[in-house]
Amino acid sequence: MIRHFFSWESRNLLAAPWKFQLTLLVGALLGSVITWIRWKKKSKKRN
Amino acid sequence: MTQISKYEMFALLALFQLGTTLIFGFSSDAGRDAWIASGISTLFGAGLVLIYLFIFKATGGLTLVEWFPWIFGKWLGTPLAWLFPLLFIYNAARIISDVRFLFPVTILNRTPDWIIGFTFLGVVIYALLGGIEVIARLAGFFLPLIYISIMLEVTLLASSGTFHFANLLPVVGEGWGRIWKAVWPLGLMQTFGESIEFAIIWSYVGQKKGLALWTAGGTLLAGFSIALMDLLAVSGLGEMAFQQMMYPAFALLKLSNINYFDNLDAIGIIYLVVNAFIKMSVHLFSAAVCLRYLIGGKSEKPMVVTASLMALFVSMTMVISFTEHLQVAKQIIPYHVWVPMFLVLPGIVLLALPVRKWIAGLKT
Repeated sequence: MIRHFFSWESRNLLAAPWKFQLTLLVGALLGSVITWIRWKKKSKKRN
Repeated sequence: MTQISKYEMFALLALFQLGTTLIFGFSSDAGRDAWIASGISTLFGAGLVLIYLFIFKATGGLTLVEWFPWIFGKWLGTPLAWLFPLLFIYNAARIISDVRFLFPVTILNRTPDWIIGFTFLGVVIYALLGGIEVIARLAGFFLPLIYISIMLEVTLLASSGTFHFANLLPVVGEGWGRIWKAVWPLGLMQTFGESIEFAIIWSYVGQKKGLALWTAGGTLLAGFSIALMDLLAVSGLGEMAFQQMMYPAFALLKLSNINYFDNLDAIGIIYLVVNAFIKMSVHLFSAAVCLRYLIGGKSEKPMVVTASLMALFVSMTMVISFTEHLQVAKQIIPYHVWVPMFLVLPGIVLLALPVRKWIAGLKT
């Protein structure tokens, strides 16, 4: 089971590519939260 | 600011596009017509890369990661921009996996693959910490060496009577169907679609006049070299062997037998090491630049290390069987990831550009 845990693992990609697409989207959303917070802090500093 | 010359960008682009595809047999699904599929992919690919360059220029020199927040605003644009560094890290992980699996079957037979991946990545990180100009100068130095090696290979193989051009006949004997299948989407997306990363590298080129010419030149040089290698591999090995072999380029190099010049595997190793090094460096550097912009960091160096460690982790957890690894590259990634990210998203940006400029005009 553990061998197929990650969505980017070849066998998982062949069986369910949507899992990898979902991982990319979730990663992008989580990263965006960091970006929004950092940009907000920067704009506050400028003001 | 760090600057590279147009020749260095040209060399970087050509070696990036040659990549590990030179070893794997580009468009092998097209059989003996692989060279035609490669040629067609190259022409369309050059057009695609020029579209990326057009967007880069139309946005006033904004890098790939800046396009999306600039056009779609921070709420929609930021998540779209984040998709790219994540994909670049995945692409870098695929190269590490290629190296991890190719080295033990060619030169380092009993070396554990994780040691190969770890040390190769270590060298890439060391070079990247020197900045993009170090990688660009290395590319400028390596490009002539690669082409001298290709010429030497062709001469030695031709002299030993390896090529049987009858293997190429009949040309398009099985119709255009399998040629187009090889061109779309794999032929176009792999190598040429991946060149979207140069929408970051172009911002480091000092003199931007004539950039389109150098970019198109680099793409055509790499693409037609791949087509030539396909043509030689099919004529030397025959269609069946070319399609079935995992590394037709290595098999072809073994066919040379003139006096002391037999087993030219070393040339294949040079192709692999140089191209994998450049390709992985560009993937990781692009990811690092994107991350620096999105996280708001001051330097790329910590981002290079972060992106590299992430790529190593993904590589170590992505492959169980190398056959499946290649199958993913041919059947899954082009359709489910590369087409949406290398074609659809830039296409939307291209269409949204006039609208964005019109809105900006209204505001002023």
